[in-house]
Amino acid sequence: MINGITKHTMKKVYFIPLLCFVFLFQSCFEVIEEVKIKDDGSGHFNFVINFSQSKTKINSVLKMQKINGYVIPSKEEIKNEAAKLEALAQNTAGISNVKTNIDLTNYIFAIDLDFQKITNLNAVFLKLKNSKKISPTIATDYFTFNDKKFIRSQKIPIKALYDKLEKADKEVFQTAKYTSVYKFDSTIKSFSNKNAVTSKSNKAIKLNGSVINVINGNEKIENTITLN
Amino acid sequence: MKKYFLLLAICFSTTIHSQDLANKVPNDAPFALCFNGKNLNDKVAIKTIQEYPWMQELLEKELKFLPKDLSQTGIDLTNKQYQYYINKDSVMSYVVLLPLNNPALFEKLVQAKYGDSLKVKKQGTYNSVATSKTHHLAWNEKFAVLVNATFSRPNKNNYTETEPYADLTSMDTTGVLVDSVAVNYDTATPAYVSEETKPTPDPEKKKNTKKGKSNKGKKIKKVTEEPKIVEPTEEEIYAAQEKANAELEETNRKLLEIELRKTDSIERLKINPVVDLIFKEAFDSKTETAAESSVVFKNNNPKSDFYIFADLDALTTQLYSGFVGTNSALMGIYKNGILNSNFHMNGYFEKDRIRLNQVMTPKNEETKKSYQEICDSKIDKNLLNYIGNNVLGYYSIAMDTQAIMNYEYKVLKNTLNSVYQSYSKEASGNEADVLIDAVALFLDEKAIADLIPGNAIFVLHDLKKVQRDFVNIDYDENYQQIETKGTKDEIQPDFTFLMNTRNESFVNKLLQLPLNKSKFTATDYQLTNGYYTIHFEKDNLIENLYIGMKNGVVMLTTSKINVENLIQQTVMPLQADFKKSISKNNSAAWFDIQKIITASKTEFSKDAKSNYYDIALKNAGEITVESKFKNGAIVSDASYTIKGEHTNSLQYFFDVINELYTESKKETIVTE
Repeated sequence: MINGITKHTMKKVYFIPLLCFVFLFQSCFEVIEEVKIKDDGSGHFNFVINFSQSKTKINSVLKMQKINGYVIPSKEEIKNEAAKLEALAQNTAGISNVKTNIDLTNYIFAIDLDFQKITNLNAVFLKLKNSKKISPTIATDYFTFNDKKFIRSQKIPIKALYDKLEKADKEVFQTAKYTSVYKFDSTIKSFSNKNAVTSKSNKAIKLNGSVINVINGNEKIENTITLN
Repeated sequence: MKKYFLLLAICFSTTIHSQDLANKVPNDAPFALCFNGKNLNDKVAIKTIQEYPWMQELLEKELKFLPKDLSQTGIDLTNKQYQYYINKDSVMSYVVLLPLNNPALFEKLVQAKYGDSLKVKKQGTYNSVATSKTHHLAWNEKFAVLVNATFSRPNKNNYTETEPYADLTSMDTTGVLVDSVAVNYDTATPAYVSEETKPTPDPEKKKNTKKGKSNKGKKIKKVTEEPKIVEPTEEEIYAAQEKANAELEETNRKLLEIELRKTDSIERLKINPVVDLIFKEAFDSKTETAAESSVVFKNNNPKSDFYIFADLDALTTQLYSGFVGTNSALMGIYKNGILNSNFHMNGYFEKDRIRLNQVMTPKNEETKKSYQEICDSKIDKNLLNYIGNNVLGYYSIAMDTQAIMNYEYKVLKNTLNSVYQSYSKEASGNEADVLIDAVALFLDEKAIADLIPGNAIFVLHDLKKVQRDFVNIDYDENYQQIETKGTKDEIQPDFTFLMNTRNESFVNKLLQLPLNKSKFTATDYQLTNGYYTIHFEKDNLIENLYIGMKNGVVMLTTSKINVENLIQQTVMPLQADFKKSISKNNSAAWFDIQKIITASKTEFSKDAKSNYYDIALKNAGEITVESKFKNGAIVSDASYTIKGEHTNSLQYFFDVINELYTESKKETIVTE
């Protein structure tokens, strides 16, 4: 989740300012990461940030110029940034049907895309990282799918990044929630993350948690899922 | 009548009698505090305090050195206790004067706190002991003196902690200074001083040689290693560099340590004589000041529970010089006085309220005249007509803008002249007058005062609960995304701000300006029925903001009723006591904390533990503040009316702490 698309695209200019407004009035947001992978390795990726519960606060803050030292983007700027992101993903080999959804009434931001191989998705993250001048040491291969084994890894030093933030910026993460959902053609045989829960059909697995716990290492987002 | 005189005489004699320690407070102390032990003890006896469970726990853990029975400390808790602050010779001292009723018990207490090894020095009529570099204590049969003294080194910005050897030359001289003084000065720490002056030159030499070596080492490496491309590896070079860096850091650390120890001994040399002088003056009856005539305590009401005095300008100057260093040019800002006034406050823990009577007394006629002119304003009664009965709190102000500006010019002249004088020795002290007079020429005080005469009221009507929708992303049993609608409560403030103006045409132009701007669409900002409406989109903190003006009253409000009443000149009712408080004072404020907490419950209760919330709610009272110019001074009366069942407002605090403590105990039991 954190190391998903938003982290890379909007981090510097958009993401943190948005979070800052949220903090100002002590509210919350949620992050959703969804990967649907077929047996042949192709699949669909969906990433959502939902600020809907904090829209009053965001509306108030959008009237300001600056907050916590961050310049507040206008609605147009947010839309432009989304369009850039869409183009960037679209121009990656093996990626198709890229669609961003910017809901500026409820403040829900989403991106959907299809990939031929899971490595294509990782390549999108890499491209985003490069376009944003993020430290080259940060890995971007978050997903692997081999021999009926799906692995979600977490290679970003989030704690170190978090510690660098100002106190006011840190507060933003206190009440944030995240959800990850992975869906498969085959049923799930086993999985490593004990906090995850499989669906009724046993073809999907979901993990809910709090962002701050993940940052502090009290909750893991890593998971290795073996399919039948 | 006789009885009355007798009573007065008794009161007076007890006052004089109990004020004996007040004589020990120097007349020039810029800050002083008095706790009236007798009055406080009458309200909540020490026995009652020590029986509170939270106090019991404190006595068992953090305050172990205190006897279980707090009346057995040797300190006379039924008498007046004094505290003051003074700055002598760059040493800032905070002094506490404690009346004693049993010196033996007090000595026992000191031993319990600091251990038996503590050396008590007999010095004439009193015993003294230094518990640390900054903490000193002395006592005789009747009272004890506690001093916390810190030395503020002038120009302390000159040395940096990261590179102490950059300051070697100055260190040398200080080293000599310490040495020479140490010979003559036989204080509590002579051994310490001589011990640390010796090694001073050594580390310098060591450091120099070391530094040379490491430099050489680097050079050699470069010469020999450059032709060979394969060896040494990059890592080896890094390792060598790191080693050299580590050595340098270590040397720096040692030097810093020496520097700190030197500073430490200089501090002792500065602090000790000042502390000795404070003790000497306190225990020598000849140096006593006449408390009755002292500026410091002349306003101490014997009926008050505590009293605070502050010479505001002297206090700021001294604190400022303490923190910034005496050489700072900025220190001059307060030298000529910004406020030019003394402040005193009598505090009373009454049955159902805590009352603070604060007075700002100008030191000279000129300042007094300025204060009088500023406060020569009564609230425009017309403002009170459009408030209504819906009030959670308000704040009002009635001051003369023109007088404020004239006073500001004076202050600015004083300030800038002092700053200028501290930079230039030839300054006459009138240079800034020209500049400020020029500024005054450009600013038309009268015109400004016409626009904003200085009457204003802010009223908080309500904190409304508003339901907001939000989108929730949920999952079905097979983890297909479903968007659901959720609702949550949020608070919307409802308020009115009123001020008067004598220049309606200007305000009118100002209000009409945004109407012609394309940035504002017709729905954003419009003029209807004689008032302006700023409309916010859905899901904003406020829905509508109304601005109206009529008969010299300018209103900014969230309440449509209020603005319409203003335009139609329909008078709204206002509670009589509010009306009186606002119109009789230069500044008045009132807030019903209980109502405000109740109204804001939605935002609170979500995260905050509701039990604490209930305690806060149950005990929250009302705050009232009233200020006006009276008898040549600015007098402010502030009171906090308590709620809940408590013997008096002092006990209230202890009770509330106890309730919170009991609650926290419950919680730990649950979690355990």
